[in-house]
Amino acid sequence: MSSPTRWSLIDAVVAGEEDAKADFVRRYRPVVQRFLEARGLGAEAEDVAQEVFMRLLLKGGMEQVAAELGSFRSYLFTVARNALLDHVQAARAQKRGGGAEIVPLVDQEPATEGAGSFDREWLLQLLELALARLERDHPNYFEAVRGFLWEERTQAELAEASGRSVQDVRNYVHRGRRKLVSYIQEEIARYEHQPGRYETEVEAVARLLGLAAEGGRPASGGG
Amino acid sequence: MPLALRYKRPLALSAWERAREAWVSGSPSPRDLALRALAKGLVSPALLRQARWMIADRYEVLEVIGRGAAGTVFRVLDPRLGREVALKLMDGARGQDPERFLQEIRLLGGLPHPGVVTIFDADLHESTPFYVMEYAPEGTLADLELDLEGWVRVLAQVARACGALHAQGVVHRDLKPENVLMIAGSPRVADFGVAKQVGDLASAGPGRTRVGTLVGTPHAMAPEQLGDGQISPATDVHALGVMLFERLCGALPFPADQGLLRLSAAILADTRPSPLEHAPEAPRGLAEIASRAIARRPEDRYATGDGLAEALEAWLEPAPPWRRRPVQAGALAALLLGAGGVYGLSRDPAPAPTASPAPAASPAPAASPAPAASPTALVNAPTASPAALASSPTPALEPGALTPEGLSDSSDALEAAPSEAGLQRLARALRREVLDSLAEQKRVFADRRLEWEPSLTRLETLLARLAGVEGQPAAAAARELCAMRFLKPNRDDLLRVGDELKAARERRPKDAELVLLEATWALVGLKSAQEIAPRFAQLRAEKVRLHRDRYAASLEAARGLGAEIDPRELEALEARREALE
Repeated sequence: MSSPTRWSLIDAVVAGEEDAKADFVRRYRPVVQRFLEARGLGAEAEDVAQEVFMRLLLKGGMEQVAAELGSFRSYLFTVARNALLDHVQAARAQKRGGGAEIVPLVDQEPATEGAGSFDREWLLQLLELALARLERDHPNYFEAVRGFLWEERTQAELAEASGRSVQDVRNYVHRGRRKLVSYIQEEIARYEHQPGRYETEVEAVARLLGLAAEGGRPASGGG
Repeated sequence: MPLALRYKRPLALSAWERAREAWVSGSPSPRDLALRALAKGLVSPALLRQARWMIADRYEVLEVIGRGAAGTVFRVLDPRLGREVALKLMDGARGQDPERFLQEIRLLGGLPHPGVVTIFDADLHESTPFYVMEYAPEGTLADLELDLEGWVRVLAQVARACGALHAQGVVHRDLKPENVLMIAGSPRVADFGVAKQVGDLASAGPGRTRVGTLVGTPHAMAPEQLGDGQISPATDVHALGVMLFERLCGALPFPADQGLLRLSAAILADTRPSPLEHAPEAPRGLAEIASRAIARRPEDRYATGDGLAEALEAWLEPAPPWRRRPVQAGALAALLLGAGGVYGLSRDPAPAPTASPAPAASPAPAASPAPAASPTALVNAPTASPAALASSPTPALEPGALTPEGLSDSSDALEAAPSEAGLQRLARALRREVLDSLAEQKRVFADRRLEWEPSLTRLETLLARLAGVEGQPAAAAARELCAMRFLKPNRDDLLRVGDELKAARERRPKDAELVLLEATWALVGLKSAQEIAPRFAQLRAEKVRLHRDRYAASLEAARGLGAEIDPRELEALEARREALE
């Protein structure tokens, strides 16, 4: 038996479990870093992302997560945005002192600005994690889904290439999609395991999926 | 985006590079696939909204209800059986050992005992092991608010369950109130995540516990759990002793708030804290039991859970009459004694101040004035059913208060037992007999058909509820009985029981429990039912006679009070006496 499901990740991090902290950073740091990159940070994005997780793990931020009434996603967005603001203000002060670097004007934006891109990164990360797990636990389903998504082959072509029947391929894609939904639910449950919060976050993620499918962007993210 | 200047685009560049690499290698990264999945709407919002969070494609998660040493516990719905159960899923975030989790499943599967939580199913969710067990809507022993006697009674049941574990060579190693589930008023020992087969310990081979690893809850640990000695059933006795100590004193014997080092030093010290030092008002008998249970050396403790259970049960049992002394009682209490009443007496030389005084049937603290017994209390007192008596604090009897029949028959409680103490003993014996029989039935069915296991456990829960656990409406039990599909052949009988119950509840609520209990026994078809039913009929008849006599005596005494008593109470007394004729 390998790699059992991780539950109660947030609680384990709050409890100070080291392996949980490593898992926590591995799961959520890419979202923060990509968000910071999208907000205009270059090489500094990595440093600021580092600062975000320092604030969470070493400066008491996780205790606030445990006490937070809103969603973990919106909390992480707030912490990331605050870290970005701090970085920008520090960079601007340096510029006044003779520095030549140009900095984003994020401190002059509304507080929700950027939430849409953060949510999109969050959604992509959920899908990434779910796809990676599908590849690990159900390689047949994953191959079918990958063929459908990436190679854009028809089911008949996939069947021919894999030596399976069309019905099998259709079935694999169908089951793969259902598994992905299930994995996304579990990913949500990892950071929003409280009953009320879980349901709310599922609805929020569904809404984000809908917006992404329509090509739109959330008016306000986080919640 | 109001940026002064988009001076760097590393994301776009890296994305392009990844895409190129993917195109060259033909293997896209998860992020590339995620982008495609998002663009193609692979996971639709409707699918996410509609899909219930299922475990093993069967159990629908309703909520997370707790986390044990080895996993997360969910309240789930089992749609096949249409009932809520608890599901414990191994928690990968805790670095758990899958083999230990599987060992917990195997242990639970092999422990059919009324005092141990029953496992219904075990399987894998993806690659994660889980098991399904009884759901405890009442929470745990830690959530339970009971007076001291009621609590000690529960602890005695827990100790009995541990005794059964010990008889099978199992040591729980993490007993604490949070690990005792309360189901229908009865305790169930749960969370065997660190339980141990004693045989494993005796063997020379390495166990699953790594050297240097502490197993258990620190403040409840015995010295041997800190490395000083062998784990044995006495280790569990120590944990039960800590629970008793805490209940008596309102404090832990080894406080956990001073750091692990000082806690370990306290546990390993030769001197043990005395409950009476912390709480001088604690009943001396219970304090002695707690002291022995937390003794430094395992051989100085009760050897097993059964030993502790016997000590607790002996404390709960009424002592011989010559050892008791009556407390100060008012005029009406004296009337009660004259009428065969048994209230306002203390069993233990030391009072139990933490015990909340139950009306009429609870022993009064010796140090405090006797409760002001009113004519109303006098009227209400005898209405407790034998089933209720079996679970209520056992009142003491003055020799003079025994009826002549009671005196003549007191040598054998299971035969004709007209005294109230005899009735209580009889009710207790019957209850034990039912539970024992059910345990035997469970063992039989466990060998034949696994699906009987949960049904019997459910039935057993109901019987425990009916046979003397108060606070659970019998009507609810009847409905559940009727809802049990596995007794389909007897469904009509069950419905009849429901009707009887309804009618009986209108007459006398407490008696309804007796009717239902009798009928349930018949339905279960226990081997010993034929023996039990006549005894129970006898019990009912004795109870009716006892109550009738008491009402008559109480009525006579109340009439003697003249203007001091409310005429309506007199009328009520007369009505009740007539109802029993």
